[in-house]
Amino acid sequence: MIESVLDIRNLSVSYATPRGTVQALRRINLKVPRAKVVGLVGESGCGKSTLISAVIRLMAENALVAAGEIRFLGQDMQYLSPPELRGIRGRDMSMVFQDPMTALNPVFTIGRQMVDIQYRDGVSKKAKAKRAADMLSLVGIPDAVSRLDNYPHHFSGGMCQRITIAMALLVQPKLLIADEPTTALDATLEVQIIRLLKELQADFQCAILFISHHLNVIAELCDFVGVMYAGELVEKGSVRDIFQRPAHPYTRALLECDPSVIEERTRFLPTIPGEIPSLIDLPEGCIFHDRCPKAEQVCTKTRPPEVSITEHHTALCHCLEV
Amino acid sequence: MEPLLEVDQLRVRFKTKSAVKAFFEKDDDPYIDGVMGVSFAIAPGQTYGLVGESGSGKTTVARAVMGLVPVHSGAIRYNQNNLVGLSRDRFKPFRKDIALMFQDPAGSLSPRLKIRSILAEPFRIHGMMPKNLPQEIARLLKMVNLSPSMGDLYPHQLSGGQARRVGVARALALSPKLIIADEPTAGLDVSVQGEILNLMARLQDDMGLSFLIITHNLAVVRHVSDHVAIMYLGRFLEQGPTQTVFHQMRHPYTQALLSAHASPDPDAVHHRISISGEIPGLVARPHGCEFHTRCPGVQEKCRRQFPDKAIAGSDHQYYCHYPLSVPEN
Amino acid sequence: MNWTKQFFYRLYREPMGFFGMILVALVIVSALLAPFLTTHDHNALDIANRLAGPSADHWMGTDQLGRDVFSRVVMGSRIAVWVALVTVAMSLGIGLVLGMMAGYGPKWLDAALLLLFDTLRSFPTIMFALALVTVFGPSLQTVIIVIVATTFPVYGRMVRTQTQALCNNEFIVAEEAMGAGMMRVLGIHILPNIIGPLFIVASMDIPVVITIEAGLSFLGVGVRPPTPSWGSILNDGYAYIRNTPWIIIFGGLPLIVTTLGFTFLGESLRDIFDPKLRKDL
Repeated sequence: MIESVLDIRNLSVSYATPRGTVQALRRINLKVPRAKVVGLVGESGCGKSTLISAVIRLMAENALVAAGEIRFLGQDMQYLSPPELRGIRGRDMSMVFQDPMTALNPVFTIGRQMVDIQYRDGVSKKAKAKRAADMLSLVGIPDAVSRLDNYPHHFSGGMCQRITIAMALLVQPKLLIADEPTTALDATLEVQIIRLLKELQADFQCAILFISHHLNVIAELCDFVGVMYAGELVEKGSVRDIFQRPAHPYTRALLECDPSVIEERTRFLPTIPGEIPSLIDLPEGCIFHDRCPKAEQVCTKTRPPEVSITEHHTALCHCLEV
Repeated sequence: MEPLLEVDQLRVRFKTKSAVKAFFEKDDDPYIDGVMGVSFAIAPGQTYGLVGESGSGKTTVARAVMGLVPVHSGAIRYNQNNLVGLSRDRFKPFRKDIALMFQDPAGSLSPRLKIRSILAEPFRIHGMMPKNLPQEIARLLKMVNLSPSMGDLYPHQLSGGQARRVGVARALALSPKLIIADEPTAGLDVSVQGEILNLMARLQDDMGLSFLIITHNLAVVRHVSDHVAIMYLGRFLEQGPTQTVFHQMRHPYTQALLSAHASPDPDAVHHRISISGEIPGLVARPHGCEFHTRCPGVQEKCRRQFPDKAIAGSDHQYYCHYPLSVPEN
Repeated sequence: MNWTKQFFYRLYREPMGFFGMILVALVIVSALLAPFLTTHDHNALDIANRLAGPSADHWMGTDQLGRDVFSRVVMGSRIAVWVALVTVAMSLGIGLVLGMMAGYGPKWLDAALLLLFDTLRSFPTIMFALALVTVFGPSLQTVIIVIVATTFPVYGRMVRTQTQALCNNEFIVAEEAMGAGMMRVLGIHILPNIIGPLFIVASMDIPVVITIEAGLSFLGVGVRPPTPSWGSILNDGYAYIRNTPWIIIFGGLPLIVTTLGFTFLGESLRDIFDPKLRKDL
């Protein structure tokens, strides 16, 4: 049995809007095992951000957890009081965001910010500053001690993202949630950050929930992968299951769309025709049936069950060919 | 064949302080260089790809061609007409032939106007109102695979892919010859990215359009462009036919860029040419070869002087003191 | 989506805004229907009944010349509302045009206009008014000129900043790339994006303007007697505040009502138009 840091069971989240109820997440089951990297991949509108906000329990006012539970280190997050939640966030669970430039407060030096987030520890300020400097050099910022006195605008985007990672790991979290941390960066920096995260994860042994729309980054970094489409987790499995033996038609289509995998130069690239369905009036049956090349009669009628392909590899599909 | 657009030694400089301030601070060169003398040509019906990291000056090249930033020196010839130094009015006729597509799909559409009015803008600006405007707008929308009823929506009601297609439709309105596309796939999902690129390819086939595509996405450039230039801090470090540059690259930066791509195979073994650090800012332009601060094969000479142009083959040029050897096969 | 319906629904849901709207409506109705609401001729003298207390005949009593305070207050609302609307509209118009020119035009124009804005804003209103009065004599026009000259730079600066921020957006560059001229960019693409917040500021400026007008009239440099203005009513009552306080009380009451009304309304408008709240529309 793998012990899970984060265990999401049957989670459904909806938003009340003037136009109707948006069923943003439906019956999500996902485990993040201790010291493993779990990647969540999906296109815009698939519910990745809603899932994160549900996990950290900082949801929009009109959001409602309709069903299910989120267990973090065995505790159900729903029954925790706000002070208890604050005790978890930034200690056992920390986050890295997409835009490194806005994640840091522009009016304080990074040293001050890195000392401040250790406010719960009862050690001297000097020790905290030392720890901050060590962490900075660990994430590859040269001359760390003197750079503690710099302000965020003295650093470039890639450096800022390194700093936010350093800050997130400074509290030695059990779970690091990384929300598209490389999206705003150039390719040469993206691979640098991925390599850094990989090394740090091995050192710190923390679990990472890594969210991205970029398949290749997920392939390189993660141990387990979940594929989301229109609010459902349509397929999940080990990284090799997903990238080498994809089962769900959506996963397959998504992998085929990536222009970097097409060796031969082509004039026309593969696409997934159609649009994501409305999450207010959900279509009957499989959520992907109107864009699926293999859709059959049954797909338009009943929601597919979660089919196990191997022990950890499951997909929501009626017509799996295994 | 005569090139449609020919850019010759284009140089763009930005003023960093006012003339008065520069005088009192005894700063006789209050400028930074955005683009440092680039040359390229686009033939009719062809696609030219401009690749570089953010801060490399690729958007500045696009805006200089459109006359949106002042050019310091060099020439931009469109059908043999030099566009540099033209007044706003003299430039206006060329704006019918050269259209610009923007990076931010929704942000480049005026937020308080309906799609219908946005698409009518090019006609209104050039005083070329077609007899039947609604029909013309429906035709444009259909051309980019959108339903004519979309005309009644506002930009924020569109998805990223739809907003991008409206951008394409607007660029097409006056039947241009050349479209400059600034990051046409930025911010789009992979499944939608293909749709936009295919749409552009189809329009090129149907209408003989030329494209200047500006992107940081090498995978996209490899498929869609005939020629490619690798840009770094305002210079083209290497340029040539796409296949040649991708398979017989001579510049270490090209090689590094190409290898800095994550692979979809979890078991892939990466032979990354590691380039450390980040692109230096325009203000802190390094001496000598600009890339020497990150180059894995840097030597003493690279720090002192910028290399001369080297010609590797037909159309294939690069700037490097110690180029890579051409790979076998 | 019905815009006006949504708007009134939201205003209705904001209790302060609704209250403000009622007060504002009260003032505007009394200004519009002033001649029909007055119980006496507001300039008719009745020396026998001077400084009388509130009674069934004179609801708010009479002043030192025996004029009916209620009728003067109601007629005074005409001046107040008229001055407020005219000056705010003029300030807004001038500020919009100059501000957009400063924000979109060349650097030297921006510098010149900013200098103008800052210079005008640095004059103290009262000193400026006194200076103008010595030249032109006290009149309604002087009041309007003083208020416009001292308030339009505020709008101008605001418009300039917003225009500059919008100019960096791609949709403006897109227009320029298509060859659009300055008038087109400013009128069709920038104006609609900045006008909403400006109206809110303007509605919150109306009570300020009314108080300035009352202040100037109180000092005797504003509206000429015998035209009733809230400020001059206060001035009249000031001398008799010990024995007959009702002139001051009833003369000050509409000033308070209007100020509160427009302020509440303006603040609720700001909440309603806040882009973050608008998203769910």
